[in-house]
Amino acid sequence: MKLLSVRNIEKRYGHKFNVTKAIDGVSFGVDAGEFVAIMGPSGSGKTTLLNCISTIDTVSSGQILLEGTDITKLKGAALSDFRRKNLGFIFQDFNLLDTLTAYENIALALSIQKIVPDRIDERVNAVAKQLGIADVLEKYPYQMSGGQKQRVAAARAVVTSPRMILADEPTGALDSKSAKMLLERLSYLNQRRGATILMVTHDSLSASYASRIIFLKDGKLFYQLKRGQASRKQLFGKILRVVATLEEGQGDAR
Amino acid sequence: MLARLSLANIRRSLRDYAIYFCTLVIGVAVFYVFNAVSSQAAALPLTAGGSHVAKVLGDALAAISLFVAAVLGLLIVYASRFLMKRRNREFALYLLLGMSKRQVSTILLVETLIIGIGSLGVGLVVGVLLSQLMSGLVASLFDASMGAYRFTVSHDAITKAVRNFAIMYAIVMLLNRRAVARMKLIDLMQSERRSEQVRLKNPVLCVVVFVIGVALLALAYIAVTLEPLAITGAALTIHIIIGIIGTFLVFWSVSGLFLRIVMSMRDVYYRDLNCFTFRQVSSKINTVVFSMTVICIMLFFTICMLSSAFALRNGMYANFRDRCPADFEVRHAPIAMGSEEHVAYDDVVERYARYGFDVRAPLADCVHFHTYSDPSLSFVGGRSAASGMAPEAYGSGGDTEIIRVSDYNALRALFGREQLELGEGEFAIICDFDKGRAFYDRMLKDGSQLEVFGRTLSSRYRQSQDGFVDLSSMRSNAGIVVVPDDAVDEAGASIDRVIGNYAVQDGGQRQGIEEQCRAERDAVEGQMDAEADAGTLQGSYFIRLITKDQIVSESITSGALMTFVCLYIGLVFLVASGAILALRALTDSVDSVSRYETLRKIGVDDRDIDRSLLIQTGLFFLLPLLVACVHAVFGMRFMMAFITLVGVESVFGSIALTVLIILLVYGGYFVATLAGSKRIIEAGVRSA
Repeated sequence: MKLLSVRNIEKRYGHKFNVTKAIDGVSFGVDAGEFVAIMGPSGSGKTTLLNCISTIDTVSSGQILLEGTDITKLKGAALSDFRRKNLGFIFQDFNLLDTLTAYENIALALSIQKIVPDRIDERVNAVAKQLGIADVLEKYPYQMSGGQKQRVAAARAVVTSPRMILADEPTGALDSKSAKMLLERLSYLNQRRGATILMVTHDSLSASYASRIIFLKDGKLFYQLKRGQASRKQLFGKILRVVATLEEGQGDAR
Repeated sequence: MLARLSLANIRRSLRDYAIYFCTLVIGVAVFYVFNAVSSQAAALPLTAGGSHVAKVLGDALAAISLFVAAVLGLLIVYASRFLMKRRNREFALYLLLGMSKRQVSTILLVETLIIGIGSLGVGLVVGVLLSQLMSGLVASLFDASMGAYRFTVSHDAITKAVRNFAIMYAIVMLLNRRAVARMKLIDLMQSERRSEQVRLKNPVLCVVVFVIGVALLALAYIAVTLEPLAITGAALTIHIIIGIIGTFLVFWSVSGLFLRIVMSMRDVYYRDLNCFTFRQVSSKINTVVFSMTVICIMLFFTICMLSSAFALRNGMYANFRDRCPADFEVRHAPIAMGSEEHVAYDDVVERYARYGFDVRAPLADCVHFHTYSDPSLSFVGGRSAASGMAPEAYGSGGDTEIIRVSDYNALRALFGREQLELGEGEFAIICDFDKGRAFYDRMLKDGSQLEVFGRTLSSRYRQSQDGFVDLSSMRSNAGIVVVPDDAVDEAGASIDRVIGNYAVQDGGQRQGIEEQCRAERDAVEGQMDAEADAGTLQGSYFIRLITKDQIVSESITSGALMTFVCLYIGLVFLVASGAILALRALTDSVDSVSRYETLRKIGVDDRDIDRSLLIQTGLFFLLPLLVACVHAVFGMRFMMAFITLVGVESVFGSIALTVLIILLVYGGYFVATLAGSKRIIEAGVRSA
């Protein structure tokens, strides 16, 4: 069974006579342990798709199953319960709590899961080591660089060992060096810890770290690319070609 | 166009303005209600004395109103400046769009006008309605029957409220205008980008400051409770200032200290949302140390003032019913000019008769008697150090009065109390003032004997007996010795008295009699002065006339005065405290919306967020109240020293009433703030 299966979902905005489809009949699946990137130009519906999967937004029709549970049917306390237990989030603007230290930001993800305070320390330290942020744990967000903040956010997302990590443009606010470091850490988590990652990005280089890339255009599935045995550089080349086709198509449409 | 923008602004920032607006409405309403009291009292069927009281009360409340206007003015200026600072981005947008500062100024002016006129209008309506309830309280304070209910509107109070608040709003407008003139676009734009910096205070410094703060408070506490009656006004001011400094230092250090302590308890800190909650509370308190000190002091004064005022009022009302069981007393006493000069006693009935008056004419029943004094009176044979001490040593002043048991029992019969039993060779001490009772009780317990007029008497009772001679509004008899009739020497006769009840009890006639008695007394005194000048009267005397009606009206004056003044100031302080905290907490919630969004995104339950909000708001409101309560424990001990002088035994009921008022006003602000914060956060999350 797939870990995640998205079945023919639609997200419609507007009224009866003027409907915009942000997502128009998208279906795909994600296996446990995969690192999937979703690419597409602005307005292709990739963030909307991620929001629907992360239960922040709701779909107009279709099903999203995570380990057999239809998450589009969840409501209220069950929804936040589900989100807390099964999903980890990394956002473009980090979304760290500015009043807490890095350590406390990571620990909070555990404490809201009612994990006993004794177990928190070892887990925070372990994940901090894996993400290379052990030396900034006592700092506040305003004292850290963007890259450090994003790695703290990544640590917060994985420390609870969620079923799936959802990342929305995680490198969007980072310089290239920090971005590279973060992506290397993410693939490390993916390969060593077996974390399943679903990442939305418009950056080809970021996408080249994934094992599979799904291209969206105008709310529809446009193309899929699998890494197979290719190296990251080779994959990057392939991605660039698909993106070129995508953008060319857009040029045609204009 | 600008007016429409103003209106739209107000509607949009309703969540910021709602509490501000309500506070203005309450301010106007309270202002009206208390200024309307004097006209309400004037409408009551009061006696001449009563209307005098009403006038005094009116004058006092008018004077306090100036102070209240100043407090409310400061609150309004503070709140409007605070709300304006939060709109920097909006002003920046206006200026970027090419609006002139003049136009921005106009927008603010129109906003202030709309809010001002609105709050004044609503406040006056609320005030007029509330003052109808107040008229019942006024009537009961004046001990007058309300008569038929009438709907009253005080034009004088309306004029005053409109004038005062118009001045306050005008000041706000001027200040806003100046603030706009000083705005710099770059500052406005950059103000949004301020990064939240968490500065944890140095823990060692926190501990040191906290200890110093607590030490200062302890110093002030000890100073005011050790010997309250010996403290001068200037010393009290210094102790209060020390207390305020101590309070400030405690608030400055407590949040950091508190956070450190909680952080060291990992089991608590890393449970649920606790680490977030405590950080929020700590940073919230850190930014309002000064306001919190002011609020805490205001709450402290409110608690002490209200409790004391209620206690004094209740005490007086209870006491004069008990301690003034007859209508009329004339006391004729020689004025001793130095103790060696013994002035002969003078019979007051004969003195009146000599000038053609009958002091007993208006009285249905009365007792005519005199007391004695013996400069060599002393207690002997007791075991304690107090024995042998002259009774005036504790401050009762003058020689201790001695009364014959038959006179005293006649008086008790008149008062409708049971007789005092006294055997041959025995004495008793009557007393109803706390300090005097303590002194005599100790003496009698030790088995002291009394030496008086050359005889030695032993005490019939092991303690002083509750009793008094003079009519009074309070328990003020510090001790009178009752002896067998044959134990006194007429040479020691001292103060002559006639105590009795009027023959007529009807209100109108009674007032006439009362006025006549006063006139007669004045006439007798005039004649005596003339005789003294002519040399036919040796020594000097004074005639004191005490009547129940006078005592009642005096008690009412002080009781009503204190109650109204303290209630007035207390309410305004409570409203000001609640409003400042509410504004701070609400704007803080607006600033924290993004934090709650993050919490929800990472899967925190709404329930947990609500609980965190409750703890944050609760601690924020509770902390100043808690510190104020600790202050009040000592403040009330200080006040008790004075309250017991008036003979009030218990302040429990008064404190309970005070707590109720605080719960209503301050608690109301707390509930409103909590609901407001919840709404802000939910709205913020939904829009995200």
